[in-house]
Amino acid sequence: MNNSTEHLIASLSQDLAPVKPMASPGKRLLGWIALALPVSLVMGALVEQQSFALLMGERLSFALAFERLSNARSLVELGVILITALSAGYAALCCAQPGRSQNAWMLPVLPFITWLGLVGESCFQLFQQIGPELFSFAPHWSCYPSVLATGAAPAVVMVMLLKRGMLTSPTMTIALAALAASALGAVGLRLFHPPDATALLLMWQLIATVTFLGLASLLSAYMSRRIAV
Amino acid sequence: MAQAQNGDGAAYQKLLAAVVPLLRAIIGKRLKDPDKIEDVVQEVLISVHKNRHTYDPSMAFTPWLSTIAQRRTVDALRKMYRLNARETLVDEYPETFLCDETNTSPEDDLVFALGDELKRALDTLPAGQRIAVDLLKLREMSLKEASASSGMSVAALKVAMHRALKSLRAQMATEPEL
Repeated sequence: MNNSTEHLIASLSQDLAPVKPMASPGKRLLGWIALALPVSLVMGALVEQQSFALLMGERLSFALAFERLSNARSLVELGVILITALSAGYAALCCAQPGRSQNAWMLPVLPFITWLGLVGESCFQLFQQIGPELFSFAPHWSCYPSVLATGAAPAVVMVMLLKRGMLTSPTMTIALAALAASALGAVGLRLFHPPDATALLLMWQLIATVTFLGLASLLSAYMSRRIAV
Repeated sequence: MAQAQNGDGAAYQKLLAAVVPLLRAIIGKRLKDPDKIEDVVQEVLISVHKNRHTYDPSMAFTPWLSTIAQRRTVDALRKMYRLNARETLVDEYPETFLCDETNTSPEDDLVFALGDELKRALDTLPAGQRIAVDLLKLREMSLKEASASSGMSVAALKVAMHRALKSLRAQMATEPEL
């Protein structure tokens, strides 16, 4: 063996500190959901209450959330969004632990496509109802505080979890993490946001998500090149 | 690896030494230069050390290690390609100063050349002068200690040292390359 490699091994082994093995992706995913989802829901509800009070002069009741929870179509959408968040989160956490399956990225593909399909269908229905004159693709800027409020906790907790791992494929990991955080944030948005979130709002959130994914991937690729130098 | 996670340094050392051939094989599939392979092996060992907490004891060790090794190899290749794209190989190194003495070739490495020359010059000294240099300069003894150790008087040591330095200076100055 090369002398310097021998020395390196000797110095690494000297005074070796014990470490706590990282938990499995499944356990960490549960931790993510347990911490981020309640915070996201509370933040979403608070921001919506404030926005509604400012705009309409009265406080928003939770009747909207209960109504959406009792609607079959809304429940299916919520389920698909939640599955997207869970599968993307699991895949991202797998990517941050060497030795885990390299194919985990495929897990959120089907739920994400289904989510896109449901949003597309809602948009199409809305287009048929109101006609091309009233159908607008303009973003609703007043919705962005809600998007931020519901998405912040999932994103921050996910970053904390990823930082403890090792990014063996940074671009893929960041893309999956961004999708997971956006999807978990969308659960709160879907429950508390007063405008009909089945159509334009979700479409804009998805556009924002895809844009964010693209930017995150590009940024990650750029950072990888910078670090490699 | 599970023992290493518990802080067992001896088991860890044994494990790292045992995986080096495997790492060389993994890295050698993409890199051909033995020096570069050894550099990447060391980078992988450092990554393994920094990320040893990411190993799950319930899973196989080799896939965990291979993933890290492959990642570090890709990093090394990327770095190599970027450097190759930016570097220009030249036959001769550019001059640093106009004076000829400052523009030595790598073979004329000043420090090693001086060390060799000094050793050769010391060997040519008479025994008394060599003892004086050895005790007073190389072992850094005081005159009293050197006198007690060699049996030479303090005055004789001083004279021998003076003559040795004069002789060495003359010999070293005659080397035209330096």
